[in-house]
Amino acid sequence: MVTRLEERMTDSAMHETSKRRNEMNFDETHAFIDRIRSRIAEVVVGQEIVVERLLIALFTGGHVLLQGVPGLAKTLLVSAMAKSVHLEFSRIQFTVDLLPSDIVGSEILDQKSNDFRVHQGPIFTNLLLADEINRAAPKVQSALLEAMQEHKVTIGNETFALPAPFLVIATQNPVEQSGTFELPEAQLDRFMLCHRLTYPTPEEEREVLMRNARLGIRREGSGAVARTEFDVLEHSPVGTGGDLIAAMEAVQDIHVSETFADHVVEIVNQTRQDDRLDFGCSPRAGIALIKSARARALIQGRHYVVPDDLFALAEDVMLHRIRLNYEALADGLTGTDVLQQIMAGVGRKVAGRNGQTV
Amino acid sequence: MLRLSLILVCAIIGACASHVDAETPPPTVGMPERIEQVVLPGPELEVRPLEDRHAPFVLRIVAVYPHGTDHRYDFEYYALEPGEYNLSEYLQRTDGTTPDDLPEIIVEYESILPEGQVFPTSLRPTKIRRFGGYRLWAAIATLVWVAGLFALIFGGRKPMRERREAEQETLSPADRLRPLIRSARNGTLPAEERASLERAVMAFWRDELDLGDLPPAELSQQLKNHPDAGPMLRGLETWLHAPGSDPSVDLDELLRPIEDRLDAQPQPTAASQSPRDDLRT
Repeated sequence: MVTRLEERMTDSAMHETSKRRNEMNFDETHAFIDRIRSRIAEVVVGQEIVVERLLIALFTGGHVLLQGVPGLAKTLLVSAMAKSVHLEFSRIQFTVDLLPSDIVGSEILDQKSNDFRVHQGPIFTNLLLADEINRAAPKVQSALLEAMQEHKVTIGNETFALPAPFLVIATQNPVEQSGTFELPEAQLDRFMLCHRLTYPTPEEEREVLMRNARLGIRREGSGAVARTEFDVLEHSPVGTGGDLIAAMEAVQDIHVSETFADHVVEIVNQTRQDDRLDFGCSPRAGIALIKSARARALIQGRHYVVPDDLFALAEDVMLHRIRLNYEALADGLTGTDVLQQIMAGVGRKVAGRNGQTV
Repeated sequence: MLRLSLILVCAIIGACASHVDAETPPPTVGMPERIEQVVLPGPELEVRPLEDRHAPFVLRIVAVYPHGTDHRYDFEYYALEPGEYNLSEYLQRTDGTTPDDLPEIIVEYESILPEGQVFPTSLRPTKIRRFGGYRLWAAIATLVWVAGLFALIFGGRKPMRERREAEQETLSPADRLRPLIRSARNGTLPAEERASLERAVMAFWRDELDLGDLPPAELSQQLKNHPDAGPMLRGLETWLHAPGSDPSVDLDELLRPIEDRLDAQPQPTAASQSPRDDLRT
C-alpha cells in the first residue's frame, strides 16, 4: 500500500517537473520568437503574416510556397530569417534549362585520383529559397519535391540525408505565366503552406522608401556601390540550433482539443463534398492544419489551439489543395470565394438565421 | 518625201519583225518572246492598259530608245491562246491618243496541244437554295444549341442546387440551436457535438449582430470584441479547447443569454427532438 502511494507521489512529482519544464521551454521559445521577429523587422518592413508563416513552417518542418509579384522582399525575408537562427541558406534561381544535377549535385571525375567524387548541390542546406519554381522543367521540380518529401537525395549510387532542419521556401510569380511549368496538384500538396503576398500598406511603403533612402553607399576596392538592405543584415544570430529544437518541442506540447479536430475534419470534408470543386483537400491538408495551428498558437503565446488559428490558416493551407470545376469558373468564382463560403457554411445544418453558420 | 521613206523602212522592219526568223516555228502558248530594236514613227509609245483581265495577249515594253525624231523599242509578250496578234493594237501614245500611223507588227502563237483536244467540263459555281439543305439544318442546330444553353443556365444546375439547399433547411435555426444549448447547460452534450455547439454559438451571434458577410477570421475578431458575444465565446473557447477542465467556466451561466434570446423567438417545431437528430437532418 505504501509502495503504491509512493509510486503515485513520484508520478505526480514527475508530472509537475515535466509541466514546469514545459512552461520554461514555452517562455524561452516565446522570447526566441520575439527576437527573430525583431531582427527581421530591422530589415523588412511589415509582412508580419509572412514572417509568422515562415516561423510556422520552420517549427513544424513544413515547406512554404510564396506567391507574389517581384519586389516584395521575399529573398530578403528568407535571408534575414536564416541569419537570425544561424541556419545555412542557399538560393536557386529556377530557369528552364536547369537540370536536376544542378540542384542535388552530381558525381565528377577527380583527375588526380582518377576516381568519381560526389559534388553536393545547393540543396544541402537548412533553408533553401527556390526562386520562381514554376520556371524549371518538371523533372527539376520533381527532383526538388522528392527531396522535400523524403529529406534525402541520391547521387550516383549513394544516398545522402539532407541537413536538419530542411525547409524549402519556393516562390512563384502569379503574372507572366508564359514559358512556365505549372506545379501539378500532387506536388503542390507537398507544400504545407501557400501564402499569397500582398503589397505593403501606404504607411509601410513609406517606411520602406525612407529606410532605403538612408542606406547610402559602400566603398569597395577603388570604387563604391549603393548599399542594399542585404548589406545591413545583422550577421550575428539571435538564437541557436538548440533554441530551434526547443521551439519545435514546444509546438508538440501545444494542446489540440478533439473539438478543434472536429472543426478541421468538418471543413476538410466539406471541400470534398462541394459541387463547385473538382476535388477537395487530402488528409495531408488536415494534418497540415493541425500542425500549423499548433505553431501559430505557440507564436501567439497560447498553450492550446483555438478556431481563430483555423480561420487564419485555412486559406494558406487549403486553397492550393482544391481545384474549381468548370461550372464554378464559369460562374466567375475564385478559390478564395469558395473556401470562404465553405468555412462560412460549415455547420449549415446546425444554426444560422439565414442558413449560414461559421 | 523623207517621212514617206521612213515609214516604208519601218514597215519593212515591222514586217521582218513580225516574222522574225521565218524558219523557226512560232512560239507556243504561254511562252514569252522578245522583239528588240523595233523603230516606230512618231512620239513615244506605251502599252495600252489591259481592260479585260482574261485578255489572251499581254505585251510589255522592256526598253525605249530615241531614234532621231522617232523611237526604238524592245518588246516582250506572250499569248494564252493560239493565233496571230498585231502588237500595234496594244500600243498607244504616252498622251493617251491612239496612233493611226503605226505599221502592223504581227506575231503568231500556236497551240502545243493537238487538234481536236477534248477539254474537261469546267466547274461552275452553283447557288445554294435559300431554305432547306445545309442552311436549314445549320439554323435548326443553332436554335437547339441556344435553347439547350438557356435550359442549362436557367433551368438546370442552379435551381437544382437551390432546391437541394432548401430541402436541407427545413428546420429553423432556433430549432437547431436550442437542443444544443440545453444539452450543454445541463451537462449532457456529447463530446462529438461540442464542435457543432461552438459553430452554432458563433453563427447565432453573427446573425444577431448582422455580420453575415464577413470572412470567418474577421468575424471571429469582431465577435470577441463585442461586449456580449466576446465573453461568451472566450469562455466557450476555454471550455472547449484549453487542456483540462477550467472550473471558472460556468457553462450554464455562460449560455443562458442565448437561450433567453431564443425563448423570445417563436417556439421550436416538433421536428427537433435531440441535437444529433438536428445535425443529421
